[in-house]
Amino acid sequence: MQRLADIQIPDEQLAAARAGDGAARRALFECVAPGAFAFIRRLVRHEAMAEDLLQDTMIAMYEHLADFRGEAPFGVWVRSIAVSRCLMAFRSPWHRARETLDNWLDDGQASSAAEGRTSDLIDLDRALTRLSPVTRTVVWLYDVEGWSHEEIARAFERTVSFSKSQLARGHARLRSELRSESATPMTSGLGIPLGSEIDGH
Amino acid sequence: MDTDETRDLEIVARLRRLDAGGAPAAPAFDYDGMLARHVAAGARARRRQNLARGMAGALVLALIGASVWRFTGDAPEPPAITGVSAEREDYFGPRIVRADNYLALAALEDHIARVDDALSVARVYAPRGAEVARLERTRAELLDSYSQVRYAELVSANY
Repeated sequence: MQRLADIQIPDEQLAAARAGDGAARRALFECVAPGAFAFIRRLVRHEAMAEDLLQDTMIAMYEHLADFRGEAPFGVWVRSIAVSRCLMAFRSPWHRARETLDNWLDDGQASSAAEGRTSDLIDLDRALTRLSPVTRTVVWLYDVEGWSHEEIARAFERTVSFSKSQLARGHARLRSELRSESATPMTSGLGIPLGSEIDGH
Repeated sequence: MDTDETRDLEIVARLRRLDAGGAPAAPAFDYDGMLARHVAAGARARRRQNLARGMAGALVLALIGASVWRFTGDAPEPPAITGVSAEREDYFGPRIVRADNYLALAALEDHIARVDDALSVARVYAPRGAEVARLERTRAELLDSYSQVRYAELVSANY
């Protein structure tokens, strides 16, 4: 599956979707939705909430298609909408209450199916779900999506120091989580070097 | 050497492998499903809005009723007592219902939060657009109303 940020849409298809052509809109959904959902799922712990956010993102995408000027790949533009929607959800008191309740009820299960993944990645996935939504988002945007601290600060409407401190806190928490994961039997964490046999290399 | 920095690099490498490892799951709906969900969500939002309007109307009526009752002189005069503490203790006239204030403030806070969210979205698309300016004006007016209700609450509490 293509990463969201790499998705490019031909101009003709975009023009047709802008004009309200149903088939073009459907094709746009099929092209963008899987990548957008995978991205949102990395930031949001709950599948149902991720689906709601995907729906919001796609509707906002259709509503603002005319604003897309083609300066960056289409997927990058959709990603900025998705980030904005996720941050709005994180600010909601309902979401905060739900996170608190979930933290109390369970101990952070991996957000996704584990089939086909090595144990260190499963541990990392589980450790990621234990981060707070804001910290997880900063870590993911910086480390994986390649955003700068300035871009993250702008998205959160906070300072660059906020982004840096969240990243440092996230890394520290991941290190500690992975260390404790590696201490338990049946799983392996950071204690096992990358490229070991468990890693499948 | 096993420093935090090297471990951070390992974490970054693993995160990228996790990302490359494939999608966590596919969305549970397709294009038609999304449209159906959107319509259902719109209907739910309209129902909530109607309910909120009804409650706000009832709240306004209750506030007006309370004000009329309070100022038409139906209530007995408070007894003439010299001490301030005794006056507070023995005064049995009607007072503003705190629940009304609470609901009015909660409704305003909710509205301000919604405007904040709309502002966040509007700033993404056009940071200096007319929509942003309009939302900022609305927010300022709401904050003004909020402070007035707070002030009224304070005054009634000290009455």
